[in-house]
Amino acid sequence: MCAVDTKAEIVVALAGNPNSGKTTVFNEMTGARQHVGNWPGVTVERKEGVVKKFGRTFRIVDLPGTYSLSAYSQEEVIARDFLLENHVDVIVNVVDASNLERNLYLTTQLLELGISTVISLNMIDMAERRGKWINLEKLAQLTGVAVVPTVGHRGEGIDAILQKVIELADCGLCESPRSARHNPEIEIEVSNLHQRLQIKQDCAVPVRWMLIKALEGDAEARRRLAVYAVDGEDALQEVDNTRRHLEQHFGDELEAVIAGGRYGFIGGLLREVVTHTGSVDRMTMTDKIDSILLHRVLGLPIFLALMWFTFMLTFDVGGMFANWLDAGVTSLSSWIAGALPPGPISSLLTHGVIAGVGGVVVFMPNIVVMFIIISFLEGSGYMARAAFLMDRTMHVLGLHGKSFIPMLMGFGCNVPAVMAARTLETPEDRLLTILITPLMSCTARLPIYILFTGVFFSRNGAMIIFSIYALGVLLAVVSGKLFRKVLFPKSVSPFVMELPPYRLPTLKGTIIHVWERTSLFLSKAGTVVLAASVIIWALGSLPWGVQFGGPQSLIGHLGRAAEPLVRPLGLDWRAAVALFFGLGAKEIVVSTLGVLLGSGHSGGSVGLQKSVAAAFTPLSAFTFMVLSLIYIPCIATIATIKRETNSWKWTAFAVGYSLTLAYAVAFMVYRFGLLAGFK
Amino acid sequence: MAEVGSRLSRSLEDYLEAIYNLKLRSQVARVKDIAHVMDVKMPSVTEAIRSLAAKGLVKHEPYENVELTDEGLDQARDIAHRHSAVKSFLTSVLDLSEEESESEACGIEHAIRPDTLDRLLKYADFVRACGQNKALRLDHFLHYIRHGQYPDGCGSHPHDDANHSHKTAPAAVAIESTRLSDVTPGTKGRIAFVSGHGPIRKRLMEMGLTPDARFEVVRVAPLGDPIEIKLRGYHLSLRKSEAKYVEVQL
Repeated sequence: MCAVDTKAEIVVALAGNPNSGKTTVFNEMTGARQHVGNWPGVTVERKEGVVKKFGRTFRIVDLPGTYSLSAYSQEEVIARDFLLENHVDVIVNVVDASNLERNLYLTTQLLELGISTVISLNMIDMAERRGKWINLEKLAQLTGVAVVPTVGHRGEGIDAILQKVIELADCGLCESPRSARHNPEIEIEVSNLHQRLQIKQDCAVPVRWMLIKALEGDAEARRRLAVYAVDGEDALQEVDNTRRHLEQHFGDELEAVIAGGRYGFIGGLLREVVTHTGSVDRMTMTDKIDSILLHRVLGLPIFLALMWFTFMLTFDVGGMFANWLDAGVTSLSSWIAGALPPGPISSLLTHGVIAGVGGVVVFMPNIVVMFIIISFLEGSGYMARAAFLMDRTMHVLGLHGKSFIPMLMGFGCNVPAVMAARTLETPEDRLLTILITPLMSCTARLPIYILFTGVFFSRNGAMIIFSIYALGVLLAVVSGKLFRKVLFPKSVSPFVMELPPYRLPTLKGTIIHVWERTSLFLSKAGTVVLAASVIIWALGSLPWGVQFGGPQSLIGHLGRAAEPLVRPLGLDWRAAVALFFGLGAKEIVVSTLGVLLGSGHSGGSVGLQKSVAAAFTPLSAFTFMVLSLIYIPCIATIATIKRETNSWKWTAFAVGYSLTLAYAVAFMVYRFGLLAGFK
Repeated sequence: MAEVGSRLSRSLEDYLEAIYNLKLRSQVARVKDIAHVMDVKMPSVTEAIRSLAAKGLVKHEPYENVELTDEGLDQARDIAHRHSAVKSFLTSVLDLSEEESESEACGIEHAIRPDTLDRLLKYADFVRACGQNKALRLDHFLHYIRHGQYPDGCGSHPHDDANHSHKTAPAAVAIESTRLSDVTPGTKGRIAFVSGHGPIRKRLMEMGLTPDARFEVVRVAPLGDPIEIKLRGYHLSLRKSEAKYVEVQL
């Protein structure tokens, strides 16, 4: 590990608290040269960038933002495993200078890993403006690691960090970090253990770290100890005895004693390092803003107004661009249809490929606009306030306050809504939100409701449509509670959440964020949608020569084969086929019905409304609306769920659950409807 | 809260109070400390702990120290409150000495009913507000009890007095605590200890809610939950269901 020669590539891990400005530092270091992927097997995103500077190559890995390195959340486990296993050359620990006390808690844990570390003392300007003077030399001396002041959003100090990184990488462990001292009793026991236990030479993790963590009862550290100790069983036994002894001594769980000790160490350090000029308790700008935005009376109305604004901006302004794109796609499609001789090729291109591409790009404006807003809400610190305001309500659903925004966006379009679930911190909360968001009735489903209410319920149409929306929300509440109980019975999802100081988001950060999300949607979700569109086209058009989606087409045959399934719901094969095409986009359900029902009448002059009136009863129409609300989200949503959960299993679950739920609810609606005397 | 039927014996109440006071003072209540404070032998303590555990008020596993359950904490807080209220009445109204009041309070606290205690506190208020300027009259006191208002010429109204509780219970009440979830906005204090086990406790402590940390409750969300507190130079929000694990002193 202690290489003297210069390394070809320096691996730098960026670690720090959420809201420490870590992402800004990462953006400044890597610029647009970022690669976004997932950590293996989990939904947590992994960002990495390769940078060439000062004649060297840096591979910079942005670890998930964590407050600690214990193993309670997935993010913490990932960050820790990466640091322990991946031969990181240097850790850059981004520390918010204006919030030193809590930020240094993570630092005390990083120091124990024995990896060369640089502290990037970020937002130092902010701290100084608040009358906090930090003695850098003293801080470096007490932690045993280099300290570089940075101002992330202005790019100040970034080069200095990289230079320090080179220095540390080239000399290996010449400057070993000084880890925080724990209570003397604990230190004595740790060094006793160190002497008594025989640890194998090939131990890949710092022994001190492993022993302390094993004492705390950390499963991963115990597993390693069992492997690296000459007599694993015996070592664990020894550790358990010591732990029992120490807990008796302190009369508390060792984890708690150690956590308290770390803060004690930090308190002492801060007394030497920080000088305050001016009052500490002065009202900050953040306090003033919060006294309005979180006001007991004004807080919620302001929040709801902001959400309304977000919704309108996303779907009205975004929708405007979407319409232009849509028009462009349509004219391209008709141009090709005109230019090519009619036949399979032309049909594949227009109904398959272009329709598919159109189905993807049409979401782009919504996504771009929404992520500009979300990026602003997150970067400014308001997102945490939104969660604070809404948590009481969302908690009823077994969800987190931050789930509100994805669910609200769901009423516009499920695709950006599912993507908005990114803002949730724990994987469980994120997954739950993703699973129930499709129950929010998106605007694409509205044409279906309008058609049927227009025909059957013209007198109380608004009520009927409202009841469908309300049913969606009700099912979301029930499903949310059910999922929380059944899928994650053991998970506790503490709300304990920081309300960070308000900051002005940087333009660069926003652009990178929006670009990341949009390009990921296009490349990952887009390909799935495109493939699915071609499959749907094939099912509708083959064997060649039949009416598109007609009774003789593959899908027509399938639909008739599936008719026994939908018969108990009072529907026939044409409804099944229409729903199937609705997979491509829900608004297609209406046009498909038009084609299929229209074909049943001679002359073709019969309006869609009349043929619908003939093919459905009021009850079966309502049942059909319920089905349209709940059954499988459209392909774009499914593809987005796949991309966001990074799991086919969960995607299949989402599809399976919605299908089952749709069928069950529709069945009940129809059967109870019949019993109640409706037709 | 305790129903009359399920009321603890005097001795068990003493044990509960001792455990509580030890927890507040040093976050730890070990059997040997309890024995020391109560001036009894360890086996007696173990015996008492067993009865308290049977009533679901304490947990005594797997460590040697004793943990209060939620219910136990509620009852202990209640006893401690009775103790300090009685003691303050004895010192401020009856003018008994510190030591006399302390030992008397130890006896009376077990017998007194909540209503009586309330009257005692009110009487102390009344005496303090009216005793200086006027001859004390019983009908004035009764008026105060019924209408919550002092007769003219008395001191400030109790409800206008922000430090009301501190005055009725003066310095004698060094040790009393409350749950963070019950603290009203604008109040400052220090963390006494975090109860419970597992991830939530660990998370709370990692976020800086460790014993002796100073905090201020900033606000409660408009819908009544969660709450926002300020500690260690930053703002933290947590649900009341989480804050109830945090025992604080004001």
